[in-house]
Amino acid sequence: MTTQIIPRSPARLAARRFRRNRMAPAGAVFLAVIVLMALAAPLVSGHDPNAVDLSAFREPPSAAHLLGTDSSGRDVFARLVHAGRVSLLVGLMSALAAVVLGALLGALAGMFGGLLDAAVMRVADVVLSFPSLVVVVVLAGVLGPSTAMLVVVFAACNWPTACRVVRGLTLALREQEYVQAARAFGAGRLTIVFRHVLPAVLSQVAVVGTLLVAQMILLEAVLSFLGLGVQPPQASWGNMLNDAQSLTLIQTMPWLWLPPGLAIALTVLAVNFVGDGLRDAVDPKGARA
Amino acid sequence: MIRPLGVLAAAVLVLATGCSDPTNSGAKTAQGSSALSVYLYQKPKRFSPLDPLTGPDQQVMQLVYDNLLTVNDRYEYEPRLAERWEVTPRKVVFHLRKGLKWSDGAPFSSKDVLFTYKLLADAKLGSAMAGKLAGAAFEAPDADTFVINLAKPNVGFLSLLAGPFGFVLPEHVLGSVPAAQLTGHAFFNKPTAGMGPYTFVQYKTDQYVELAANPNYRKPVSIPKIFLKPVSSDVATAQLGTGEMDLVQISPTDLQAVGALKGVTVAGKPSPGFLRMAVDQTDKRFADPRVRQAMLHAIDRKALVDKLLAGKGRVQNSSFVAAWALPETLAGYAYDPAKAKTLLAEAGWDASKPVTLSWIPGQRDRDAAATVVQSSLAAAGVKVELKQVQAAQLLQSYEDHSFDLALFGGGTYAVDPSSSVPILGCGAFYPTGGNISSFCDKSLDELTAEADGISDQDERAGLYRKAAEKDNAQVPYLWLYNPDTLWASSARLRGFKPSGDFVSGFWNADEWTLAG
Repeated sequence: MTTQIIPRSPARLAARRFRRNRMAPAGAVFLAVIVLMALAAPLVSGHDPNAVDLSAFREPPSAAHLLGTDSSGRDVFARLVHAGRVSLLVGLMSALAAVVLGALLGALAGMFGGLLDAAVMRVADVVLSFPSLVVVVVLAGVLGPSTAMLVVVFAACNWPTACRVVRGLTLALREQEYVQAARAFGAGRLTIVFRHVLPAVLSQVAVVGTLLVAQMILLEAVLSFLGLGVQPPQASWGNMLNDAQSLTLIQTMPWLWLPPGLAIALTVLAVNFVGDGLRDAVDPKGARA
Repeated sequence: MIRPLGVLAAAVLVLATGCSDPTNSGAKTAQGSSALSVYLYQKPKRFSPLDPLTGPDQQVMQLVYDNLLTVNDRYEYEPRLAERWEVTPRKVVFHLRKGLKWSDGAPFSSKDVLFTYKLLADAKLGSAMAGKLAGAAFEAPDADTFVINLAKPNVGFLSLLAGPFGFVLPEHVLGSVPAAQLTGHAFFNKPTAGMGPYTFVQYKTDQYVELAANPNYRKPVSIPKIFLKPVSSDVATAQLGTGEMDLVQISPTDLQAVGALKGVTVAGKPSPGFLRMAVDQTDKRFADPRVRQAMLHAIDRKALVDKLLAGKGRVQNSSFVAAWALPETLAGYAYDPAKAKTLLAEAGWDASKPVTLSWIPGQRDRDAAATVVQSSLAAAGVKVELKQVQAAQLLQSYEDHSFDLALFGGGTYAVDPSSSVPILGCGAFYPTGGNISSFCDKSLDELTAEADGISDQDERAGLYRKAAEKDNAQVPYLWLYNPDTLWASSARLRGFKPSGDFVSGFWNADEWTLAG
């Protein structure tokens, strides 16, 4: 159908496919705004997120308080943007940790095979077969709730996804001529893992990682909602929702629960769109026509 | 883009509002039926007066069993199985009602009471009342008289027996069971005989407890059936609107929504306890009373009552609640951050070391109070770290003194001032007694001990007022507020008299009627 044929690099082709998926750039723009607001939280918010003021108790949105105030007289908008920092930080850090750990183990298992492969994959099976939310709840109870704990536990429960993907790709790569050539020239298997395998699987890992970020943001919100995540007075979207759990608040004070609820939903949606776009971009075979 | 967003927003709304929208009046199961539906704030487990006390169990037992006396809605003693009693410093004589029958038709006598009190006093059985009854001797001189001889003089002893506990058990059913097998006996899962206005029909685990009017009760019971349902307070409040629930204990935060429901009456009574923070006084930093006074001055407690409780409560300034034991004037510790700073400076407070505030999260007003306390104390120069803990952790921290401040509420101190002695006495440090702050003032102990040995009410009140002044000046606890207990009832329930102690809320269930 095309009349002009211009040579394009794979990266430019991928970027084009990413743009062609209309939801993905929209998600990326939305995420960029959220990230900027989170980074510039103290400048944007105008209020201290933890400043208690009982004289401004559950006030509806106004010029002084853009999204009103909560049950301790704290500014909801300030809490919302500061909570974004926590949610994004936990989401990104834990997804990154899970992907790095998973990719490394997957590549090693795929490359070395044998006992190492069997051991890593069985452990991955075991971790995958646990109901991860229950494990996280128990660990949060044992280790005590904190942000660092969330990152560690989320990573520990979610590395097998990346691990399986990378192992599968590594098994295929291992049989490629250039890898066999490298081996024939005497390159060690560890060298091949780091020089050839990991760079080659990076794009697929990025897709897994992005989708994991969305899951982790949700998981953080769930745990904070249950009181096992981020601890007060520090705000997170989950514990803001927790604070707004009561019939009266739900019926009459939507400014207490609508903003954090929408923030979670839209952020997760945006991350998922970006993830989908990335998948289409790096995997032309699976892309829609 | 628009469509997914619209769907998403709708989904968020549905999820956030849950499934119980009070405006969505579907099945009106309770309306027009002859059964009463009552809310239980937690799930009951077993119905044994020998088990450690838990609220929902006590609420059910109050309807199925009966005790010698209880406390009414005005915090006065209310005769139950005992018609009247005589109190002397070392002896209490109960005169029981005559001609009473158990729900299974067997005759009731003082032998049942004697049987029960021996079990209640047996520390080996783990009864919650064993401590209160320690050293006491019981006798039943005739079928209608029961006597308790006390180990040491205590005119306030009756207050330890009055309330939703100490329920009398049937000797003709349990008398032949060996003591070792008694606590685990199946009777306590499904009581077959009781002296209360209702008989136990069944407990559908985690769903509802079904009760039916006791035909052998000492007077006619009007409502034939009661269903007690453990649901969340939000669901209960919503069901009040749909007519599926008749009686609910509500939180001040829902007052506005519940008040707007048609035909629903809301009534409140001061609770018999108060929200407070224990201060670990084994820690030298808190030993100076000026530090504790400063902390009270730093917190705007009136604003807490006005905002968090919607005005349904009072600022508390004493460890005593019984009105007649309180002097006319107590220091009010009004909100005054400047004075708080001065007092801290005078006491040589070291602002560099943070103070932890532990509490069990989950109750709205307490969670908000913790954040308010944190920022208020920070403004006065006391850095506070919030620490959410589980119940077991909190109790452990009381024992090993690893807490600094511990926020908790409850207690029943309204009937008699002697019920506050276990949280103040030098000999009542936790875990021996309830003195979690490890506060000790020997002169205060002497005053309360002297008062409990005197029968003359005025003289006793005078001594307790002096004790209350000492308590008020030294601030053993950081008292926050005495909240109201709020009850919402449907229009068809008549004769309900709200009690400030929500566990004894059903104290006059034998007088309730259903209209329409």
